[in-house]
Amino acid sequence: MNKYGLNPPTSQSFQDSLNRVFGGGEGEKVWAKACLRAKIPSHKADNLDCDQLLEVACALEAMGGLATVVACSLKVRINTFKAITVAEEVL
Amino acid sequence: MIELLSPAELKRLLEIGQLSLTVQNDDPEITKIVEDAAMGMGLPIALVSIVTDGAQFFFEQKGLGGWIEETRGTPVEWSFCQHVVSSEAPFAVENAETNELVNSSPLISNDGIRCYLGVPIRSKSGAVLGSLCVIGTETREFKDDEVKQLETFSSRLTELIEKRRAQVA
Repeated sequence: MNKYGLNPPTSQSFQDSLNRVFGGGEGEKVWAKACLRAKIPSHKADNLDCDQLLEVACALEAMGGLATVVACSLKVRINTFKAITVAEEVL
Repeated sequence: MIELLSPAELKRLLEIGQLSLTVQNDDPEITKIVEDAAMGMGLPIALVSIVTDGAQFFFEQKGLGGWIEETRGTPVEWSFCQHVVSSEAPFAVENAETNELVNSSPLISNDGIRCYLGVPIRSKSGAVLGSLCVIGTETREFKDDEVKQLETFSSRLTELIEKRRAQVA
């Protein structure tokens, strides 16, 4: 845990964000579509690291509408986690 | 069990998408408003913060540095602007360390935020999309006429943001 108390983003936290916005069934479809567009193999999708999640967020961003807005949130959260982790490593 | 967002919140997020507020501002008039807000209040930082479900995104900013300038946002639970959106009203923080709504934010303990004044940024339909805010690293009081001044800037922002709807459509 970093000094900001921010947990690392995970595949599950991504899916939770999508499910909150789209509802369970539709959220899962959007997640699967974004992973496919990001060329993430389905058997690896449940355990993605920050860089892979960022690729999924970029794929999500390109879908438009609410997916783009969710992607904006997820990108900020990933980039914040990465930035403060790097800053702490430097110190 | 995941709690679904309310229809009103979904409509608000949809408007953020329709107005293309998830990409960095390129309108010099909006940049000028943010600069004028910081200068008018005599504070180092001013933001157009768009508040989404999980984050605040800085559509425009003046005065940020370090990692937060790079990320152009923070997780929403750290934000002061979430309280502007939830209350749909101005939110003034004269001393962040003693304000119960925000004093757990790591932006206070790690980044030195001490005072904040934010007013709603509304779409034409009335949805509160985020906050126009000013931020400082010293405690200070905010007067009613300063709130009004920021609200005047925010009304102008509504006009400029709504222009984007036609451009995006």
